[in-house]
Parts: sequence; C-alpha cells; structure tokens
Amino acid sequence: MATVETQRDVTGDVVPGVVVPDRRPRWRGLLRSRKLASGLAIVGFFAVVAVLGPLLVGDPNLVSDDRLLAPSAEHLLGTTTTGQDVFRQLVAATRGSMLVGLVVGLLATVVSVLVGVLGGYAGGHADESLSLVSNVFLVLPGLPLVVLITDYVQTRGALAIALIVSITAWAGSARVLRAQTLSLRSRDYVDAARVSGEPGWRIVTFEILPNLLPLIAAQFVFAVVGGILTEAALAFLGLGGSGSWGTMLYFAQNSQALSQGAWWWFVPPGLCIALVGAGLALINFSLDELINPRLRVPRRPRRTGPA
Amino acid sequence: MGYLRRKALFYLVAVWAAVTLNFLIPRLIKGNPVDAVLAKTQNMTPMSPEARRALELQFGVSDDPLWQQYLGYLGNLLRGEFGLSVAYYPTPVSKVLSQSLPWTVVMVGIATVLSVLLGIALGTLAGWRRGTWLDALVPTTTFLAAIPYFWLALVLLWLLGGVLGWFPLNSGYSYETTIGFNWPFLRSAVHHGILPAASIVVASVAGWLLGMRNMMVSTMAEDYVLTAEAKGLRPRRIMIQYAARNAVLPSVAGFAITLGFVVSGSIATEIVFSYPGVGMNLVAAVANADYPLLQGIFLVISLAVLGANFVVDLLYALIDPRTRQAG
Amino acid sequence: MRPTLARRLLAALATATLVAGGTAGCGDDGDRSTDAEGKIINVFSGANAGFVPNFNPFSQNSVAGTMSVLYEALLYFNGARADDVQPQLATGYEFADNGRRLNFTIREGVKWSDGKPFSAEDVAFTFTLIKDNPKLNQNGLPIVEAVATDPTHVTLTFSQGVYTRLNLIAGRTWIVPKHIWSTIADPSAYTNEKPVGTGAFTVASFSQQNYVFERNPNYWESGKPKIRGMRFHQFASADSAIAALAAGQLDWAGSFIADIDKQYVSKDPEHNKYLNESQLYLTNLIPNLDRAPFDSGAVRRAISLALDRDQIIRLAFSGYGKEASPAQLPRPLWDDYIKPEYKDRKLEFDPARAEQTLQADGWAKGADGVYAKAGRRLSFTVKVVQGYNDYISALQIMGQSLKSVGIEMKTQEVSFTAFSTDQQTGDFDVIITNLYSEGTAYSWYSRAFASKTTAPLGQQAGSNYGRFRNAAVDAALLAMENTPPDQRDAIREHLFKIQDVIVEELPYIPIQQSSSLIEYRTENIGNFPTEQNHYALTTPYNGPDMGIVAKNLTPAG
Repeated sequence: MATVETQRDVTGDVVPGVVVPDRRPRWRGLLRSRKLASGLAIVGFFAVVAVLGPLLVGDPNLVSDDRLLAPSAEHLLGTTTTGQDVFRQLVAATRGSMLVGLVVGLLATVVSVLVGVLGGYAGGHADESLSLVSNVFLVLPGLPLVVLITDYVQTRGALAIALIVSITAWAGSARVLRAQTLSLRSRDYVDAARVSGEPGWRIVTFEILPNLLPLIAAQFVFAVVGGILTEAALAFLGLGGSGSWGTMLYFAQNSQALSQGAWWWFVPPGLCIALVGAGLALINFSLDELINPRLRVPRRPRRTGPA
Repeated sequence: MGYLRRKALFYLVAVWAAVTLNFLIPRLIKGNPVDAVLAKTQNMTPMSPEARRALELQFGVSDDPLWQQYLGYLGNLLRGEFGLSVAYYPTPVSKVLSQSLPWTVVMVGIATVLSVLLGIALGTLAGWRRGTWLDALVPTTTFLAAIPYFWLALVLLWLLGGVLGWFPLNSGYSYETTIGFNWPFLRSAVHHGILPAASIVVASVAGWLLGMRNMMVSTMAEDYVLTAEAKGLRPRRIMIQYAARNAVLPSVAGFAITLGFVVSGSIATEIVFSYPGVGMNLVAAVANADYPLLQGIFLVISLAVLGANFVVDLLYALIDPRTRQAG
Repeated sequence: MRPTLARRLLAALATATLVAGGTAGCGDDGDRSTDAEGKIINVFSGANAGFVPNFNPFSQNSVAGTMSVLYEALLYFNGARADDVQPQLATGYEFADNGRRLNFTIREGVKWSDGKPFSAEDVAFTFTLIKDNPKLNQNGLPIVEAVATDPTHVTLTFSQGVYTRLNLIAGRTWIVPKHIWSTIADPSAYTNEKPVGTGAFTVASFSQQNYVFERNPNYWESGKPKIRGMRFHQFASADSAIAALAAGQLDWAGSFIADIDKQYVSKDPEHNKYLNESQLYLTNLIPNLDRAPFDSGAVRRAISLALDRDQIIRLAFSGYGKEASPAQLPRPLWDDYIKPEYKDRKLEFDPARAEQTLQADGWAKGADGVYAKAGRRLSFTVKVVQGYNDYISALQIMGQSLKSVGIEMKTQEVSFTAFSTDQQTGDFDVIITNLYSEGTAYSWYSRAFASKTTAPLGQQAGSNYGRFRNAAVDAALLAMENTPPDQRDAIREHLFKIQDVIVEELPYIPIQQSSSLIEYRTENIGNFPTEQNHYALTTPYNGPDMGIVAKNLTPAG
C-alpha cells in the first residue's frame, strides 16, 4: 500500500528524503479527484450492501436440493454443494467482512492515535517506550502471531476475530502518526500556542490533530484493508468462522469447488475482497496526494519526450 | 557507532519480545493440548480410555511456577530446543522445521527479490513517465495488491494448472528425482516453484511499485534533478542515477514491513499448492493442536524477519552515510 | 531510450513465461514405475503435511504402514467382517484362569527383515516392554507378566480378565525384535528410522514428500506379497489428491471426493473403482444428559423426530452417509449382534409427532414460536469444531428443521482444543461428534454408554461424554467382560439387553453411519477387497487392516 510509512525506517527514524507538507491540508482539492470519487463509490456500494443487503436477499443458510448449480436467473451466482444460494451468501458475507474491517480499522486507529500522537507530543521516556513497543509489533510477522493467538482463543465470533487482528494492525499507523506529530510539534504555530499558555490537551486536539486528519484517515483506510485481508486469510486457514468472504472461500475450498469447476463459488468472494481493497486504496491515493501535494501534480509540461 | 548500537539494542528487545510473547500466549489462554491430542489421535486410530494416562505421560504437562517454566524455556531456546512436536511425536520441532524451512526460505526469498526488483523497476518507470500508459500500472497493481494471496493462488492453479495443465498441481518437486544438487531435481523444483512464487510476486509487487513511484515523483522535484535536467543530461541517466538512486532508499528501509507481509502471504499460498514449506507445517500444527510446533514456527519466522531487517539496516548504514551521522 | 527499457522489461517477463511453459511440456510427473519384477503402487493415506520419519509402532504418529505393513500382530481381526479372525504371528490362542491368562502358539519359520530368526522370545519381550514402559501402553493392557515357555509358546498373565480385549492384545500390539529394542533407552521417544519388522514389506526410501516400501523377499507367507512395493504420497489439499487420482497417478487412496462419479469414476470408468466403508463411525448429536432439558426423554425424542436424516445425508454428507440404526451399531457389519426386532427399525422423521411429543411432556408454544415449559424456552447450543464444514452444514439443515417444530438450535464453532476440553468436562448443551469403537460390539457400547467411562460435570470423562448412566447397561457390560469371546450367544444376549435400553431411552441422537470413501484403480492392482469379498477393511490408514490388503494385492494384467 502506498502510504508515507515507507518513508521511515523500522525504528521510526525519519529517513532523509521524506516529504513533509508545508501547508495545512487542502480538502477542497479532494472533491475534484476522480480517484476519490470512484473509490468512494466502490466502498459506498459495499457498505450499503453490508447494511441493507442481508435484509433484502433472504436467508443465506437456506438449503435446497438444487446442488452446485451454475449461475442462472433463479440463482444469480449459482448454488453451493448444500444447495445454498451463493449470491445470498455473498451478500451476508459482505456484512461479516466489512464489519471486521470496520472494527479493526476503528480499533487500530484509536490505539495508533493514542500511542503515536500522544507519545509524539509528550516526548521523553513515554515516547521512547511507546515507540519501541510499536516498532517491535511492526517487525513481528503479523499473520503467524494472529494464528498463534487465534488457535488458543476459544470463541470465534466476528468481534473476537476483529479484536485479535487489531493487535497486529495498529503499530504501523502509530509510527507514521508519531513521526508526523514530531514534525508538527516543532512548527511555529504550535510553539506560538504553547508560549501563549494553551494547555497540552488543547494543543493536541485543536492544533495538531486537525493537521493529522488526512494522515489518520489514510491510516484508517489502510487498517480496514489489512483487517479484511487478514480475516480472510485466517478464515481460509480454518480459524475464522465469522461469516465472511474468507469463510465462503474456506467452505468452497473444503467442498472441492475448485476441482468440481464451481468457479461461481470461489471467484466472487475473492473478487469482492479485491474490489473493496482497490476502492479503499483509491481513497488512500487521494489522501496521499492531499498529504503530499507533489504526487497530485499531473504530468509536468517540461517532460515532453515522445510517448 | 551510535546508529549501529541503537539498532542492535532495538533488535535485541524485539527478539526478547517475540520470545516472551511466544512463551506467554499459550499459558495465558485456557485449553489443555493433551485433551486435543487425545481426541485427535483417537479419531484416527481408536484406542482405549486407559490410553489417556499413557499419553499424558508422553506430553508431560508442567505444574511448575511460571518463572521456573520461563527460565527453563529460555534455556531450551538457547540450546536450540523447541521441544517435541505433538503431531510428529517424538520428533523434535527443530527437526520438523529443518525439513520445511529451506523450501519456504528459497521460494519466499526468490519471490521477494523478484518482487522488489520488478516493483522498483516498474515504479521508477511509472514515476518517471507519468501521464503515459504506465499510469495504468497504478490502478492495476492496486487491484492486484488487494487480492488475497491465497485466492490468487487458487485461481492461478485452477487456470494454469487445472484447465491448461501447464504446471504441476501440487508439491515442491517431482518424486522421481532425488533431492540434491542434480539437474533433474533442480529443474523439477524450479518448475514446481514457479506458480507459487508468481502468485506471491503478483500480489506483492504493488507495494514496492507504488512506494517507488511516489518517491520518484517527490525526488524529481528536487533541485539536483532539476539541475541535471538543465545541464542537458540524457534522460535515462537522470532517471537512474539521479532520481531513482535517491528514491530507492525509503523502499529499502520499508523492507521490514513488506517482508512480514510476504511471509504471511506465503503461508496460505503454500497450502493452496501443497508446497512442503513452513506454511504447511503451520496448518498441520493448527489441525493437530501441535502447540510446540506452532510456537516454533512463530519464533523461527519472527527471528528470520528480524534478522533480515537487521541486515538491511546494516546495509542501509553503508549506502546512506547520513543515517550514521543522524544517530 | 525510455520506451526501450519498458519494452525490455516486458520482453523479459514474456520470456520467463515461455520458459515455464516449455518446461511444463516435458511433464515429469506421471509415475507408472513398472519393470519386470512388478509394480510399485501409489498410495495416498490422507497425509496432508510433509512426512517426518517415524516408524515406531508404539507411536500414534508413526507414518502410515508402520502398523501391520512393517510390523505385525499375533492375530488379524477383520474390521470389515464380524468374527473373522486370522492367524498372523500366532497360529492359535487359548484363555485360562477366567480370562486372566492367555497362551499363544507362535508361528515357526518367521524371520525379521534383517535376517535374524523370530521367536516367542520377541513376543514376550514386546509385552514386557509395554508393561515396563507405561508410555507405550496406549491400549492400557493390565499386563503382569509375559513369558516365553519355549520358542513357539508365550504365556501372558493379566491382573484382570481380558476377554473383551483380545483384539487389542493380539490384534493391535505390534511385535518388535528383542535384539534391537532391548538396547533402546527410551522406546517411546524413539523414531526408529531403520525399522526391522516381520511384515510383508520393508522401507526402501524415505523423503519428506513420499516414502517407498518394497516387498520383503523373506516374508513367511509363501507367495506373498505379489506387488513389488508401495509408494506413499502426501497432498496438502483434497483438490490436489483428487487431481492425482483422476490423472491415474494413484492406485489406492482414502480421500473424500464430492460427486465421486463425476470427479473420479467417469475419468476412467473401466478402472476407477471405489468402496464406501461405513463401519467406522456413527455421527451423533450427543446431548448433555446432566443438563436440562436433555434429561427429558421427550425432548430428545422430539429432536430426533424433527430431523430429516435423508436430507442431511444428501446435502451435508454428499449422499455418502448411511442410515443410522437406533441400536448404535454399524450395519451390516454387526447385524448378527443386533436384536432382530431392532435390526430394521428406522429413526423416523415426523415433525407433527415431534410437536405432539413435546406437548405431551408439558411444553407449550410461546408467542415467538418456540416451545417453553416453566418459563424455560426450548433453546440450546450445539458446539462444533471450527472448520468441520460437513458438520456445520448438517447443523444448518438441522437448525432449519428444528425451527419449524418450535425448537431453537444455535451453533457455536469452537477451536479443536476447546472442543476437546469441553466435551470431556461436560461444558456443552449438545455436541456433534462421531462414536467409534476398538473393533468389538462390546467396545461400541462401553465407550459410549458405560458409567465407568464418564465423570461428573467438570471432571474429565474418558469417552462417555454425554454422561449416560444406567445400571442395566453397566451390568450387561460387566457380564460381557466375564464371558469368553467364543461364547457368542451369551454375548449376544448381553448386547440385546443394552439395546433394549438405548433404543427405548434414546440417550444420544444418531444422525448417520459416517462414510469413508476408498478409491482403488484396477489398472495396476488386482484382488482388492470388494463388498462381496471383504477380506479386510480397505482404509489405507495406520492400523491392523492395511497390511492385510497390501500383502494380498496382485499386479493387474
């Protein structure tokens, strides 16, 4: 994923060459972005499906003797080996996956803001230890850690899975936010606020956080994608069970959909994951361009070589 | 020296954290592996209720105080002992891992190198030639990056292995060959490795590509690039020697994160291809409630990722003198 | 220049693809190892991870074939036919001292695979080894003493009668050579990478991906084995195993295949055969009888009446499962031991009567459509192991059926570890799981229904997880323990008493006789067991049957 985090090394040092915005974010520019529009459209569509879809399509678990049928007018995406309607399942799973993504996104973002922004602003020992913790979490391989924890945890609800996935999802964001907070903290207007006697919480809330918003938003989007993907991998390994796209893939895999050629069963869930991921990434691009205006500039006129 | 010492200290802390997490997680969460082992073995080969006691003896559950267990655990690790695997009892975990690790290291290693090279090359081009058809790389690879590795592997396997029959459907080499440095084995291993590696490369190249492209775009606005252009240097030389060389630094630094992702992704990919690597061990461990093996895998992967990053950090200090002074 | 670079990159990619395609054309995967001496047949025993060398016959984790193919037992108890016992390393046996003593006559002329002679000493040594190492005693045999009275006779003494454990002692205890195992310090932790056994095959090669057995030229049974050897494979996913089967790369496999006619048989109808072995497991809903409302027989009967087992088997178990008998014994294997009046009794599907049964027991339908009694709704949770997709599908179907008769059933997926712990300590409303036995009718009932194999809630039950306790059943089981195995009529009478209780009380709710699909291809092998000539159970798993099949196979054509 493209975020500014690749511009810092693993211990959180700002690597030379990082682009730091000199101005406050220009939200208005965002609205004109086609990337943002299409990203929002995709994600919005899936969000609507997640909220309303299950109410409209009927029971996804309803079995029938129409086993493993190819897509038709009656079953838009065919049926499973137990005669369940794949389209209904896809809609129901949209809710599961999106919910896990959302919860992971929210939890990871809250934790990363607390750790990154507060640590970055407070400085000193608090900052150093918080930053050490987040860097350690960042280098530990995520999925194996999540698998290790999940295998020991007994219940397999969507919420439990989301909680576990969040454990490994916050560290990257915390690091990025900390670095940016460090940079903002030394700005003139923050110094001015401090000199004028504003209390720390006011400075963080009203001077620093607004400037971090696009970055936080980008990290949130990043965490949602990560949450959806990690949950899918867990479910595929047989450790999910939260009724998500990953669960569908697990069932398809274990019912031998692949060797029976039932592409309508295992292709749609993966495509949905990819689509949501792409949609969220498009949103992230626009946020990136907001944070780093140079990315936004279209092809520069002085570069006039033949195509 | 400050930089190196700080890095070394950091990795020491990270290793300690990984080791300690590995120790604590199983002990903080309820569940008795012996029960699971019993139930599992009984399902395959029925045995009498009295057998329970015998197996309990085999898997020895400890009632020692936690700190004593911790010290014993650290001591065993220092001696390279991860305990005995439950699924493969009485084979030690270290032996199980020593069989599978080379496969994963080679495949993930090659896939990562390919992915890095391809990503950086394409990213350089995309950043350099913005406004051309190369811009299409960005949405395309974004889409690819959002695809779960294992799903891409499934679809590739179905299309290229199943429908077209170009590639073997499973395993790491043909059993007609003998493992070793002989041509038939190596050819067979490469042939079996292409599809798994390709699915990892396709799904992971986007991260490198996008990071590189963004850095190229930023770098190209730097004064030294403008100066080089003003001097009338050949565009290709500017691209490679002025812009890309500087833009690539953050990508190198981002190795940690990417490596973690690739390793995670390869786990599920191995399952799809029946590739005899660590990912397969992991699934076997989960299925058999083989906690010693599970912990061994987590630890080995963690240490490998940490080690790789430490090496990258050392190299980084060589490439970029500024890092050394910054400390 | 720039376009050139881009194009060169793409060209490199294209070349890589071509090279890959070219290599594939050579095809190095088909295996039809044949030569003048016979065929190596290809076997898949269900291994889904890399092989780790372990040929220790006392280890539950030894690789498939260790038991019965490399090492042999004294007798063979046919898992596919009741009362079919064949001599192996022993040619005869007799009980003495009310079942506390067993005398075996040991076969002469048998050699270990390293050429050393086999004798009664080795048998006595093996049982003494088990007695001295509790870790090896996985069958829990109460051995007191094992003595070789002469080179062909062994006497085993036990601390209690072992009439019901003959098949464990003689059929599932693998005899090891004294001259090797007497020097091993900890036999339970020994991986035995160079196994020396009496079996029809020996190990020829071993790697993580496959291992090969070749025929033992000194095997005691003249003219056997007829095939040259066996190569054991592993496949991570069912899909890859099916692909190998369909491509004719396997000759014998125990792999679940959905829609087997289309995916496997149709690829080569002349050679691709399969057997549906369904004698091994009985899938049951096991209610916790120590918890309300399952202490009520009416509730259990109502649940049973509401289930459409045909539909469950058709949809969730791919149509392979067989109808379960209320007598809780697999049919037709144990038909001789099922009381005639229960033999053809079916578990009915009658939703209307399910509701009547509840109403007669004092339950009344609430406003939410769910029955309730004394303020308690008829709602319960079934625990199932995460990822067991056939069970999960079955529960979805059951949930829909039960809902329509006013019973609320929820499903909770838990980890395997949690499930094991919960079933043993009784922390569940209902579980879905398989009942199984050690190969005797007695053991089907003692495992599931004996009060000595259960425990109070919160304590670990050995195998009777539903907490069923019944004095008549216990008495019948005890009587069987004191009946020599050849007194079949007496055993039958005791079994009928148990059946009277469990058919009447319906402590657990049978769902199906679980199936194990066994695929075999007649292109390379002949004389594979069939429904008509079921000379051994055909599951290619580590156990007593595999070696019998292996040594009786013939090269086809």
